[in-house]
Amino acid sequence: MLIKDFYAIENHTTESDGSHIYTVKLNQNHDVYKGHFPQKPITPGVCTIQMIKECVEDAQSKRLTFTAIDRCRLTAMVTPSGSPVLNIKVACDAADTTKVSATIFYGETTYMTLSGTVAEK
Amino acid sequence: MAKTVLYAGDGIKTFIPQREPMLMVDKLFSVSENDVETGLTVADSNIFVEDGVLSETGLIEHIAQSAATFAGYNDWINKRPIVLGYIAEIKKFALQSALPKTGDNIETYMTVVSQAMNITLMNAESKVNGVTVAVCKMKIFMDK
Repeated sequence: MLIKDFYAIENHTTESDGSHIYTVKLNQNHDVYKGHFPQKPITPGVCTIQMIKECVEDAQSKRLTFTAIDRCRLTAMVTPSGSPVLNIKVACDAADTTKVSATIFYGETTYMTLSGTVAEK
Repeated sequence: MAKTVLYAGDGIKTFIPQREPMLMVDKLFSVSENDVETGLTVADSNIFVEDGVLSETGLIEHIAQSAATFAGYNDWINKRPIVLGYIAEIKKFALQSALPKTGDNIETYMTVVSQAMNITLMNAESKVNGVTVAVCKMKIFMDK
């Protein structure tokens, strides 16, 4: 984990289509929220991208870098108090596992969708 | 030749609401109504640094805060309040050379592609020692 103790993986399931769903819990007391933002803790979008990458790393058992992000949409605000638990669904192309797509959701809300390319570190 | 720095270090805090440990711009070289040029020296203490290398997510945050610096400066110069800005969308991010290392000076140039209501779309290019590290397009939502 790049940013130590930022979140914890609470559950991991592999779906019949080969995709993975990770359930993560955010650490509301993390130092990141002292600076993003003072008086208004909001989970930085790049930190949710980092969580996606670390779930892909776990799924593929490799250390990875996003070499390309074709599109990443942030569709709802993640806050450590308002959305402390998130589901991260990651799918890797069966023919080319460097092609990754991911969705972060909880209940009816989609927080982020991402499609990109990873390379091994 | 060293570039002229308009604002550096704590001077950047006039324009953006991010604070340590999430402050990812430490220099403002130039700014207008249409473009901005910022910098960041990668410190070993940066929370996006691991094994002496800045993560691509840290680089993206630097680009996002460069856009925030652009918006914040233009609000400040026009005597408007500085508001929180969020990434709405990242498109066509491409890493073109090795990620910055501790001690590297990142320089980022961004230009406005379009602006509508509270959404600004900007083009970004980040370089280290004149070599392009990454490019992307970023949509920023300003919470006005």
